[in-house]
Amino acid sequence: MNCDYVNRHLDALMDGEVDASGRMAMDLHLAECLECAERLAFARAVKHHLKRSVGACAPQALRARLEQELSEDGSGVQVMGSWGATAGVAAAALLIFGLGGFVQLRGDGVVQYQAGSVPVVQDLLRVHDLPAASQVQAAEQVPEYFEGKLGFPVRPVSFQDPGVRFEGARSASVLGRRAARLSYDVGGRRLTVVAFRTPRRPLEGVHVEEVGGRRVRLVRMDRHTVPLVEHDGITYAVVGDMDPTDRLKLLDRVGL
Amino acid sequence: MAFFFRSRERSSGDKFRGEALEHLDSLYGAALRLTRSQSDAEDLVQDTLVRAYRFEDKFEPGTNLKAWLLRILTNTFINRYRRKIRERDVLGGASAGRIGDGVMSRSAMRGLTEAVNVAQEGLLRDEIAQALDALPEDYRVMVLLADVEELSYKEIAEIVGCPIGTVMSRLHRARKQLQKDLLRQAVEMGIVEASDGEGSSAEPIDLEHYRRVRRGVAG
Repeated sequence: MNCDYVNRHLDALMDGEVDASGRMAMDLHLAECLECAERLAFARAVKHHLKRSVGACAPQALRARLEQELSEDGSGVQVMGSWGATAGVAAAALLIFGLGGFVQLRGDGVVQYQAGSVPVVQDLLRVHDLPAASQVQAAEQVPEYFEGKLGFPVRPVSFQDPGVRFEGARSASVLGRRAARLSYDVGGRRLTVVAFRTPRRPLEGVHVEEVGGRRVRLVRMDRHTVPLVEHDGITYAVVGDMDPTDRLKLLDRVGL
Repeated sequence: MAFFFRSRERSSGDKFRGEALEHLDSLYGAALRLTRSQSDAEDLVQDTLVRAYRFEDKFEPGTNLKAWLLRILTNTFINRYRRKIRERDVLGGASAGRIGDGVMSRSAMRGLTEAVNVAQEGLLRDEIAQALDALPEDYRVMVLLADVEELSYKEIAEIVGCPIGTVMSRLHRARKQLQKDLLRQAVEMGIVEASDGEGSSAEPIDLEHYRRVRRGVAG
């Protein structure tokens, strides 16, 4: 698959119109080809921010007028009550499913929820889902493998937990920037650390939360939570199939 | 708020109107972007809903109501409001933002990606909206339906009444123009540096063709 081909289907990929095998083939190309990855990141950034900038709210007066003038009996008699009830329930539903908002759930901790698309999380999930083809066998080979490739040094994250096994590494891209993908196996579950140069300006959605008595930097999208560790100008995002709390526990003893 | 309870169950008509009104923000947003006038947008939305209620039995329950309503809105716009808009364009609302056939350099693209991705709200927000408004109607409709309302190519094709291939190519060109306009504004604001560079902007090929040949593509 070459760049020309990928470029012609970039829009379709971004719009979710490419089938699964096509997506996989394109993702593989995008992991290796920075230029195409930059193009995709750019198109997605504009699309995403267009959606957020342009959405309008119907004026309240219009809504009220339509509800009244277009009511079925047309007599103008109060049907406001029933609409009011509908609006109330709809508003509560919006809050619970977090459309554009945060919600706190009670339970064994405070969970915040951010719906919608968060570009950096989308990219991190894509990198996590790449096939396992690895070009590096042992953790010690990681710095040498990435030497000169990414523009920043990459060191393997070493977890204190002996149950974490290094599986391989490959290059990837996040938001159109070169990144390193380090794969680990934790008792059969996949863990991916994605390392990329910390952007100069703060990324959308990244914030600090108090989790288990600690302040942790992370980013959320729908049901995904990705903790981030920064060190020496490099951001390490920890994506995995496991509970974020477990991932955070692994980060307790991390050598970089 | 006082409540008046109906003695009978809510009729299906009421239910349909209730569901239609849930999409009011989308309808108003699209109408505003299409007509570029608040009063026209309100009229367009009202016209749309009147027709939607009249043709309620033409709607298949379980299918995408928002897309159905947007189809009525788009057709109403094309039939009733378009001429009005064209007159206004002639009088001086001409679309800005044409920067010729030049392609975007890699560094400009990178700079603009980063500018657009910043956490702070508001950077380039107005400029994106302006770039959208500056697009010709055909292009503006495509970007609205694909990027703001996030409808599928198939749904867009049904709404606008053209083949999926046309949707793809028109959308591609619309986005290119919008991106270039945005870049021009960003350069003017000093957010991004303009630079000459090479790049390619290929036309998208037919999606059906791609699906037929995908098996022949090596991974």
